[in-house]
Amino acid sequence: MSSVEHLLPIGQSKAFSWQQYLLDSVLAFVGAMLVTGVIFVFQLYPRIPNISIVYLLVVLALASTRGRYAAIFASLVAFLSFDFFLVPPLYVFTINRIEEWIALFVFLVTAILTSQLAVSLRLRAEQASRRERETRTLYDLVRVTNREDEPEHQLHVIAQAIVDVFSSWGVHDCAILQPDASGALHVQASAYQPVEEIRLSSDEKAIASWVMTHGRSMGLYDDESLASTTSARFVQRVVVRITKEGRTVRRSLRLIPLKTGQQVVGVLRLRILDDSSQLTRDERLEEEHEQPNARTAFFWTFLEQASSLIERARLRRENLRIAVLQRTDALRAALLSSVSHDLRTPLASIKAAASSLLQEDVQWDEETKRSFASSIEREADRLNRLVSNLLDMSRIEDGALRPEKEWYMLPELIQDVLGRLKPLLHGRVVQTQVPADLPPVELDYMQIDQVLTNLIENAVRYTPKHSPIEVSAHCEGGQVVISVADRGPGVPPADLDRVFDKFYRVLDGKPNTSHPSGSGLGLAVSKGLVEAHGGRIWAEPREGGGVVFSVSLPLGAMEEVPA
Amino acid sequence: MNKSGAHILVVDDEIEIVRALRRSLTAHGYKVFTASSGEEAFQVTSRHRLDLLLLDLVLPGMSGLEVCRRMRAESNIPIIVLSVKGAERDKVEALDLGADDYVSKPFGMDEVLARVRVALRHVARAQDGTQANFRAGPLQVDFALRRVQLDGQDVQLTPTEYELLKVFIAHRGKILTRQMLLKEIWGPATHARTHSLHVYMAQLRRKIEATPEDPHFIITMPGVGYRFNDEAEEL
Repeated sequence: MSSVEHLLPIGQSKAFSWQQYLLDSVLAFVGAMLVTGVIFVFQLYPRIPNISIVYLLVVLALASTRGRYAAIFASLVAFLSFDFFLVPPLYVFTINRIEEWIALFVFLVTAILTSQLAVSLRLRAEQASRRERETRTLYDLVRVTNREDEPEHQLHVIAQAIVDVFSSWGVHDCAILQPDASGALHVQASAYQPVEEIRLSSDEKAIASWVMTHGRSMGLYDDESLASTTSARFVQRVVVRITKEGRTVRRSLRLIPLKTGQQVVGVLRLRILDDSSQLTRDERLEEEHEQPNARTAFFWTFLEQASSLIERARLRRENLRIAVLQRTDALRAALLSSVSHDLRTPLASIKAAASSLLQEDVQWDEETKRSFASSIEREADRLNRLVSNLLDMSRIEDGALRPEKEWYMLPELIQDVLGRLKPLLHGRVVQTQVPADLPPVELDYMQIDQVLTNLIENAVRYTPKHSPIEVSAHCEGGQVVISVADRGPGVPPADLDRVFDKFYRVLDGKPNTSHPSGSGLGLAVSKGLVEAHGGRIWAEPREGGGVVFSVSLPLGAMEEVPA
Repeated sequence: MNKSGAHILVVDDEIEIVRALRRSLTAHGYKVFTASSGEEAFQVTSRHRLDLLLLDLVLPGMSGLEVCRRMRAESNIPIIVLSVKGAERDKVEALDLGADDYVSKPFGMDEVLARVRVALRHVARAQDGTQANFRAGPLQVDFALRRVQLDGQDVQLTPTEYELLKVFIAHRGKILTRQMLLKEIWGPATHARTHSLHVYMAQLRRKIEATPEDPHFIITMPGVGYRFNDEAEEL
């Protein structure tokens, strides 16, 4: 998150202080007196009657660099000193000749007009450059925000941008609150604090929801008079006085509605650190759009921009959610169609066998009775496996699947699975090639049992009767690889990866008539289970026909065991 | 072996399962009582002398685990827990609470009957006291001499392996959870050694089993623990 580009702060608009006035006065006085001195020393007046024009240079220079006050002060000083030191009679402010009066008066007016023009020109230039800077800042905000894909990151970027840009106003932290589905406000992003660490006090929550519903900003002050102008109900004395570099600094919170049009999309929570000389700024923030002010206008424009970005982020999030829902819906439909088929098949067999047994007009011999009963048991087992897969699938989807790993011996597990699947195998031979010295593997017995069951069941189901199935295991570079190989029709090379997709069979629209049915869940579940173990599952064509499904599991380092 | 009409209480709220169990158990000579909740089960136990409890873990009202806990506080009647696959945690908890065994739902009737037989036999044996000798098929253990023989050949076991085997034989037929085994072998303060437990088990099997990959004596109960195969004695 720290890689977020920082926006340039806007300059702090200069507040006029007495130091600046003093400096302006000194500069104006010295500038004007310098000119007077030169004219006096070189006796330029009245040799050059229009020599007073030289003062205009000083006035212009001051007007364009220091401002209106310095220029006018210099004009006055020039006017008086010219009269006092240069216009006869010297060292008094009286003037004898009428034309000198006129010249001096015209000079004064010219000087003041010139300074006015120069100053307004300068202000305009400053305004233009500020506008340009503001536009660039807004553009940067959009650019930086668009660079982030995740809505959460976008909010974070916006919060950080607000702090970056308005840090000169005392804004030192910013959080964005948005309502959840039930309308309760939650911190969605924060500039410099992890979201989880922000605890909103109940007062803050109350005020935030007030701001949210009324669309008016509100602050938390320690000042009674200020507080009484806002809603007295929420007066809080949460402002802490802290001393920073020897000055008293006020810390306050400000909750501002984020609006797009008339809709309030969230609440901005600004922490503002004001030193006492800047108290006025706090009040400026209170002004709403209705009374724009050159300086705060940008703040509101910036917020508006941020609001629309936040709203867009929200809409995107909404869209994502809807897309996920739609996908889930499609999957659910596919699941339903495949599962209802898979559930009905064994149910039909069970029903048929049981009702046959119940027939009163037929006397079944012992062997037939047994075969009905064993078919009921077999089909019930099949239903049970299907339900296991469905449960595992939903756990995998919810991310709730956590293998409870322990060290087990693989050969035992493989024998266990084969023993349990005996009814399914119908006497088909399964060859096993498992070295006896295979080290113990850390795994969740139930889950890997399910994986092997699925793989073997698949092999039995999709290969011709009596074709051999081989199960083998071996160690390979810190991993143990378990393989189930068959001599069936194989899998088209293009589909070798896709067979692990959920409902591969169903979504593919393959007719189920030529092949025995399957929910298409088994391999997808196996993949989920194996990956939860940090392992890998893959299929590859087998030399001489058929397909090999392999599962690799990390061996891991086992603690040393003393004998 | 116990055809003397042991009294069995089946506690389950699934009427079909109760009916099937009652039918099969009665056919095998047991006297069957039923209860559909934990509360009802305690009423039955207060009125009748019972030899065994078949207990579903998912019950209305009082949970099966709670029934297990309270029942154990009152008596040491064998308890066999019925529970669905995947709820391994519940099974282990029930066993640690004092249940003797479990059967996974859906179960085969012969499996239930086998577990019932083992549990009843276990009680009978506990009343007999400990033996100095144990023999099961090719396996022979002389506890006085600390000697283990397989097909008449001496088997060299490390002290830990021997202790494990002794615990298994003493509790044969009963499921021993990992916790129980750890406690028996290394004392109560060992939790982190589960991994080595499985390795010791593998070593022990390699020494006493003819086919370690298809063990005959010590059976793994996945996700729960181990059991010494009680039926092995009958060989």
